[in-house]
Amino acid sequence: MYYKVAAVDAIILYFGDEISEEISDRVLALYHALKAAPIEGLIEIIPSYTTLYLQFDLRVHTHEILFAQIRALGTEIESSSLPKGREITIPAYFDPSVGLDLERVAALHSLSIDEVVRLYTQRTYRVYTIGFAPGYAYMGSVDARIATPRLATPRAQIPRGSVAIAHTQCAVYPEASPGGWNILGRTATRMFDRGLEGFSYLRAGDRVRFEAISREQFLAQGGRI
Amino acid sequence: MSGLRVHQAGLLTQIEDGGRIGYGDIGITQSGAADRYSAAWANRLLLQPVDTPLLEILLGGVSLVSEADTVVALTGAEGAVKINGREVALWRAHPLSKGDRIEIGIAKRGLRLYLAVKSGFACQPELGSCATTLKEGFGRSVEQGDLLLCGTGLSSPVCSTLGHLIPDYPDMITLRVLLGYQAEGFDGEQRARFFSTPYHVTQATDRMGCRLQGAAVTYGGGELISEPIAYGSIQIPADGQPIVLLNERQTIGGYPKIGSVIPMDCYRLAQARPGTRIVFKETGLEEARSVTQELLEFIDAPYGLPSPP
Repeated sequence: MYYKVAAVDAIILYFGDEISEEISDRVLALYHALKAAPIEGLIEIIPSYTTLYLQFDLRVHTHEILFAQIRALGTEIESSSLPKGREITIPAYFDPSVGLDLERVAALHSLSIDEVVRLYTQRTYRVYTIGFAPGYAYMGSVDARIATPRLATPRAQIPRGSVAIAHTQCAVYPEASPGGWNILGRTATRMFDRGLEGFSYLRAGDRVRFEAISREQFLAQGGRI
Repeated sequence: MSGLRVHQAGLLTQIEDGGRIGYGDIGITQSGAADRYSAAWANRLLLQPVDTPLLEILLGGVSLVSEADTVVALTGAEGAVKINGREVALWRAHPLSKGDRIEIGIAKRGLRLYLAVKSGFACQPELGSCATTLKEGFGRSVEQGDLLLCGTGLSSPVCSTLGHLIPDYPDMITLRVLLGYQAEGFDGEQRARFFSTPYHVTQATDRMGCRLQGAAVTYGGGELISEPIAYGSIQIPADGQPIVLLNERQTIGGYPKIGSVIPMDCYRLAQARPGTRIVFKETGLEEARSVTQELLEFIDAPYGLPSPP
């Protein structure tokens, strides 16, 4: 682990240089430890795939001393102390009427739509980080057989609840927003809700499965087409 | 509770404060007043905490009628402000009586004005803050007909900011940069170009960030895995044109960053109009820390009547 200056009052810790569950475990172990027992003077703690970002009160910390303190803490934390991510199933309707890119993704990989959906729903995905927008969970890794690059031209508006992939990453759009990911389906599950404890339905470290549901089930859950 | 009635809302007027802090891990941007220095002064002139909710007004064009007896203070961009048709000074507190009309003309220099009211605008904090972030659905922009609630029957001494503490809005500004993040991926030649050639502010400047145009800078490192973004971070996308990320920046991004602009200079950038020339100047950690510390001491200074000499 090493650090770089992110700003006059922030450091970014680097744990590795590839996306892997092992590196993510180390990032999240430290993130959870800092959330559970906050160090005075830390203002923001943001984990990503291989990094942990700490914004601090510069009247309390310096980059160097904070890093030394964090490194000492890091060696105490066993990766076994990582809270096991919650297992969460997200029901979603996979159909070209809501999965705007489903047919194109299938054609690109010479698969049927059913095969794409089967490959997508048979995996369990890890939430690596939340970002881009409130409650937007970056998950991985999608089966290489359906991995699809981002759209050359992003869409101006992607509907709320869209289940999407980009390369081997996947996500659910918490709100309607512009975006360039390939949309496979749609869920009625609210990904971000200010009435929800923790606000974000998913948190870094969670393990997520998608369950294919019928059009009727989707509508019954409040889904819109 | 009474308030200020909005007769003309202007281009974009919204309630801001010190920002929504501590929710970056669920993707929520900090938001808050884009020029925190001017915002802090507006509240300070009313002898109240510097992060009290106030109005951030883009360019002006706002007309308000007071339905309360209160005191307001205006800071930020230079524009003609009138109370009941008479021009009044910015960077100063002004008592208002019921029926008084404030008209804020279009600013001639700078981008954002701040209007604070005694005891602050009443609003329901969400996740600890009244900051408006339109893209996240926190708050909304002020509209014609709104009654911006505030206390009535309040008074406050007429304070004004000392002249040398009032910023100006020159055609060229220097932004002090602390190297960091992927700085090592920019070799000597690229850094020399970045620090020696002027850029200018493009039309693409908003509360999220400020896109600059000038000599393209090339990043020599490999593909980056998306990582958290600090306030003031300077992203260099594939076209080589720097983007300085401000209050409503996305929390995570995958473009390489050469470093970050120190907060005081970010506030000045938030006041820079399209066309403003920008020069980057490298600064060391010690200098950056001392400048920022001084700023925080000002912002967090105890407020209240100055003690008599």
